[in-house]
Order: sequence, then C-alpha cells, then structure tokens
Amino acid sequence: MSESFGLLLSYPGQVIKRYLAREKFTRIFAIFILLLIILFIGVSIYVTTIEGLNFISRDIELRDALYFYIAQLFYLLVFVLSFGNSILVIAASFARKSHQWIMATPSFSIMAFVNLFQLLASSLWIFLAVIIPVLMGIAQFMGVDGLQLFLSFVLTTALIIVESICGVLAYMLSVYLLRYLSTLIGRNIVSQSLAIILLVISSVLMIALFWRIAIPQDFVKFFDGNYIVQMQTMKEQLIYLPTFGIAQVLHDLLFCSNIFGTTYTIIFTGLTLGLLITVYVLLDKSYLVMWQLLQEGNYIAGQDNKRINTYKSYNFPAINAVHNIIDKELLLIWRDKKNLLWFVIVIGLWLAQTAVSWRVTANANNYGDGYIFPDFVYALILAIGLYFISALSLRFVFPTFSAERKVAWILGVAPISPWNIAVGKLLIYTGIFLFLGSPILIANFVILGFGFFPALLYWIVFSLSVILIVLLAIYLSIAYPNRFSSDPETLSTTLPGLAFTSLALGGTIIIANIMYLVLSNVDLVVLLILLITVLNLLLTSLTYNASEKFEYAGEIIA
Amino acid sequence: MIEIKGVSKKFKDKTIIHSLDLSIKKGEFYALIGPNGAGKSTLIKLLSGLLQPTKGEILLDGINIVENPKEAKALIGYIPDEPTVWDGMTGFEFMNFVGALYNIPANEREKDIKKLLKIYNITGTEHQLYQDYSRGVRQKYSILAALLHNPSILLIDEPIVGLDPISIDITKNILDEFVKDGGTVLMVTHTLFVAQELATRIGLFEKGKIKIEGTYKELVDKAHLPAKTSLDDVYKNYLAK
Repeated sequence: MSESFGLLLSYPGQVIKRYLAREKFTRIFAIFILLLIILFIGVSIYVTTIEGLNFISRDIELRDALYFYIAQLFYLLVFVLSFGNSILVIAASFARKSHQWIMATPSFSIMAFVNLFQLLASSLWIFLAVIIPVLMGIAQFMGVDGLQLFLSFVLTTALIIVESICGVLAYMLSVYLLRYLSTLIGRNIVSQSLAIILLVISSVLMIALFWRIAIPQDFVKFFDGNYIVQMQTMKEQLIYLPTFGIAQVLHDLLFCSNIFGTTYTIIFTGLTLGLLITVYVLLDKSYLVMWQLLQEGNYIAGQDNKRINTYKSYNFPAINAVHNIIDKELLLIWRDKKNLLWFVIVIGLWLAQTAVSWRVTANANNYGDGYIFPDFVYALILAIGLYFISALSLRFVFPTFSAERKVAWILGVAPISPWNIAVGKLLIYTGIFLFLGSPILIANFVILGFGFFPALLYWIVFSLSVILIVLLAIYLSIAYPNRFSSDPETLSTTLPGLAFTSLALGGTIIIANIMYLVLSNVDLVVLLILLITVLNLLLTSLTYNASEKFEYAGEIIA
Repeated sequence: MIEIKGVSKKFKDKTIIHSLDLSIKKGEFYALIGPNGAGKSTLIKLLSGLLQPTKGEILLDGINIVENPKEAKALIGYIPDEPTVWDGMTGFEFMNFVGALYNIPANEREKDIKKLLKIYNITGTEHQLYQDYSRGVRQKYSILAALLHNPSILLIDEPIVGLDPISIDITKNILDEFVKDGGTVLMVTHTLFVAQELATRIGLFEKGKIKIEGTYKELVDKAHLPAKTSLDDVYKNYLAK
C-alpha cells in the first residue's frame, strides 16, 4: 500500500518528465508561454484590485461598507468555484473506466486519497492566478503587515478545503439518499447523473429560499444612510450567504487588522484540519461501496432485453451533411444529462443576474419614477452576457475536434469534410447561444429602461461577438486538436484552452469597454461592428485553411 | 480496387510507412498481418482518409482519396479496431446517422437497417443506448454500419474482437459473400485463422514495409514448412528469420 502511495505521488513528476522527453525546446517554450499567461492574468488582477480599491476609497461615506462587500463577494466567488469543482471532480472519478483495474486490486482504498488530493489540488489552482494577486493587492493597498497577509492565505486555503469537502459530502449524501430511495421503491435509481441532478435541485431550492428571505431588504437605503445604517443594510443582505462568517474574518484581517481576524483564522484552520481527516476516513470507508453503486447500469448483450428502457430513436431525415451534424449535436446535447445540466446552470445564473436587475430597478423606482442608470451598467450587462457565452463555448464548442477523438472514424471515413463539421458546429452553437442569450439580454435592457436604438446596437454587437467567440473556439479546436483527451475539463486547462479563455475574456472586456466609450457616437459603433465582422471573416478563413490540413487520427503508439 | 503508389507516412521525424506499393484487385481479399507497431493500423487509416499520406498516392477504384475525398470515401466501408460510438445514441440512430452521411434516403435507410439487424439476430436492441451495449453488440453494429451503403471496398481493422463463435461464423460469411459479389477487402488482423480461411492474398507487414506476400499456400511453401502448417506457425517462422 505504501508503495502504491509512493507511485501515485510520483506520478505528476513522471508526467512532466515524459512531457519533456520529446521536443524539449518547443515544450519548454509552451510552458514558458503558459506561465507568462498566468503571470499576465495575475498582474492584471493585482493592478485591478489596487485601482478598484483606490477608486472606492475616494467615496469616504461608502468606503468602509464597500470594503466589507468586496470581502463577502470575493469569498462567495471562491465558494462557488471550489464547491462546484469538487462535485464535478468527485463525480467524474466514479465514471473513469481507467480506474477499474485499481479498484480490482487490494489497494482500492488508495483511490479515496487520490481523488481527495486531486479535487483539492484542482480547487487550489485558482490560488495561482486569482487569489494570491487579490490578497496581495488588498494587503498592499491597506498597508497590512506580512503576518496578516500570510494569515489571509491560510484562511483562504482553509476555506477552499472546507468548501471542497462540503462538495464531497454533498455528493456522498446524494448517492446514499438515492440508495435509500431505491430500497423504498424496489428499483435501482442510483446513478451519477441523478445524484448531480438531486444536488442541483437542492441548490436551486436553497437559492430560492435565500432569495425570498434576502430580497425584501432595501438596496437603496444603503446609499442614503450613515456607516452604521450601511453596515446594517449590508449585513441584512448578506447574512444568508454560506461564506458570510468567514468573509467577515477576512475583512477583520485585511481591512481592520484587529485581533479577531488572527484568532478566528487559527481556530478555523484547526477545525478545517479536523474536518479534512474526518472526511478522509469517511470517504476511505465508503469509497468502494459508492464505486460499486455507481457502476451498476443496463448491459445489453443480446436480444432479450425488453425490461430495459428503450428510447424513441431519431430518424435523421436530412441527407445534407451540415444538417446532419446539427441534428446529431442537438440529439447528443439532449441525451447527455451533464450537458443539459451545464446549460441549466449557466442560463440559471444569467437569469439570476436578470432577476437582480429587475429587483434593483423596482427598488430604485420606490424612490421616484424614471431612475436612470449610468451607462457603464449597460456595458456591464453586455460583458456578463459574453462571459456566459464564453463559458458555454469553452465547454461545448472548444472540444469539438478533440471530443470526437474516439468516434472520429465515423465522420472521418464518411463522405463529409472537416469543414462541413465546422460549419455545422458553428451554426448549431451560434443558433443555440443567440436563441437563449438574446431574450435574456433584451430583458435586461427593458428592465433597466435602456432606449430602443442603443439596445439594438448592443444586440448587434452581442450577436457578432457570439459568432466571434464560437468561431475562435472552433478554430483553436481544429488547428490544435488534442489527441489524448476528450474531457472538456482537461481540455480547458491545455495551452489552446487557456489561450481561448484569455482571448475570449479579454475580447469580451475590450468590446464591452469600447461600447461604453463610443455609444453616444453611432459612427464609432458602426466601425466597431465592421471590425468584429472583419475578425469573423478572418477567423472563418483560418478555420477553412486548418480544416484542409486536418487529420482525424494521430500517431498510433504500439 | 485499391492502388497504393509509393506511399509514405511520417509523424514528425518518425517514418511509419516506407514508400509502400500495393495493388488489391476487385474481388480480392487481402489480409495484412504483422507485429504490434508495424504500421498496419496507420496504413488502414491512410486508406480510409483518417490520415493524409506524407508522400505518394492512394487510388480507390481509380479515385484519388486526397484529391477527391468525398467521392473516394463513398466507396469505402470501414470497420474500426475499437467500435466506439457516441454513448447518447441508440444503435438505430447510429446506423441511421451513418446512412444519412452517405446520402441514403430516409425511407430506404430504415428498411435496410431492419434487414441488416437480422443478420446478427440483434433486432430488439436497436432502440437502446450505445453506452449500454456489450463489446460484442457494439462490434456487430459497426460491422453492419460499414455495409449499409453497399460499399465496393471494405477496410477492416480487427473484425472479430469481442464476438462469440456463432457471430464469428456469421462475420466470416458476410465477408466471404462480399468478396464473391466483387467487393475488395483489406483486413488488418492478429486473429490469423480468419486470414488463413478467407484471404486470397496475405502480406506480412513489418516496420512499415511488406516483408513477404502471397497466398496462404505460397507462404507455407516459401517457408519450407509442411503443407498443413497453420498461418500462426508460418507467421512465427517468418518473424524468427
């Protein structure tokens, strides 16, 4: 067992060694570029944090309450990222067929450790690019000492660990609940997709409950009162957040530099270690049972399978290649519950943001009709929309030519070109994103009282930007297909994946910022529209050229 | 007919196929055998258009697969070594989708699929998801999908892996009938008894080149082995040299 631990721990080192064994110079250069990108993101966040705090500090009345708000928002973001990530990682670990051979050995329990380690490591990566720059930025601006900064790192690490553990516990609870329900109804309903769906339903119910309690509060009162009223309003709004207490400790540490921050950090870290050990013991004991439960399913090896659910098979009525690709994509999105869940989560978040717009407008109208929001709010709505489109594209479009890896033979041997596939994917995903995104964007503008003509210009820019993001994802996918993985989560951390994320998010910020600056001048907006159109044509041409050189298979290692 | 003229395939600085010349006539069943890593699967991927040759040309019934990929691919039926299909499709949808890619009208497709399913006696499984099929059922679907558009050339990478003995016999009959009807077959395999029984010509492929080729009888004679020596033993004998 200890040898297996040793082997598994040395695995990342071996992977790096193997990676550098061939084309050393090119690969070192690729790592260098990757580090540069991370550094660039980190420095940008660091500078933005300091500049943001600098901007806030000019408003002496609101300053302190806003610092508190920033601490709360920051930890809420960390919570969403690490909690969601841990559920996805632990769920995926039970789906990995390559783990079967380890689960068949007497050292099966090692997988509990490996998975816990993996999910903590994958949650902690955001430390590099996001958390360290933000905390350093705050520390620099507030002028806190090195010990306080170190304690803020410790506190955030502990928070990520606790949230990841909560994700594991929530998934385990979900599986065991399904097992209990299975015994009640006399039919096995334990499955990964159902376990995740159960978690999503619970989360939605909890958010709905939080919404009902928190929403009656008065947002505008915050801008009218003194420090005590402001803090009171803020706390009334945020007290229902799962990270409220711990974010208060961070606020004490970095913004108030008081003894409570230090004391609570030490207590919280101790509790986290205790919790981590307890959950590891729990997972270690139940990992095999959960594995077995989640491996069960239908298995069809012959004709006599009447008891198993049958599906209404789709007929693929068209004989046009692009139309067939579109039909196939729609069918597979519909059949894959994980895909549907992704759509539901992203669109749900977008709708939640729209609900916030509605609530804020209604609240503002209580203080007099016709409240006019500043122009940057509309640019922000555009940026949020394009951010959600980028997230969906990273998940669904970017893996296009890598995800088809194992099934590439079906399309590869058929009389259909890679260009047909690219066009099919462009049409279907642009169509879906515009179909879902346009009404939400327009709803936001209507709620916030944006005029018809500027809203139309924003919608045109949004639509062209959606095409740009989808085209970028397809181009990177066809030009740099990954032959080793078809997993969207893994692909998003490869060099082309990171390039897509940086370009899509960077482009989103630039487009939204330009729209904010030039909206009053229609000529400049038209120029921006033309610029995006030219970029779209350029990417189309690059994609076509890449499709001409595309090979469906890579080198076969035998 | 398959014509391979001076074909080489390189992956970066590594040459997998070395200036290969090979011609397989209409109605001929050519079996390519050889050790792992010889380049057999790469060759079949070149012929099926999954890879592009670094040098040379490949003609399928006279059509160049690099210059006219759509026309050339319409002639091919390909059976892969791993019958992986999208998990979210049913067997019927997979075959229907493949039929649609080959421009077979929808009403004809449905009739043809029903007819083909009867060959392996798997009618009743077609509206269940691919993810629930056993290895054998998946293999059967991939064989049937390759036949759906009546190809003139079959390219096969390991045809019988995961099949039970009765299904192996059915598969052998399918291939036999295909060749008798004038089809051309190139099969890559490690299950040498199938090659011995069905192939009209056998090539021993090693390090990207054909080391020796001929009918089963010619290979036995050239190796100076007794007449009824199995292809297994003939193969081992050649590799030992």
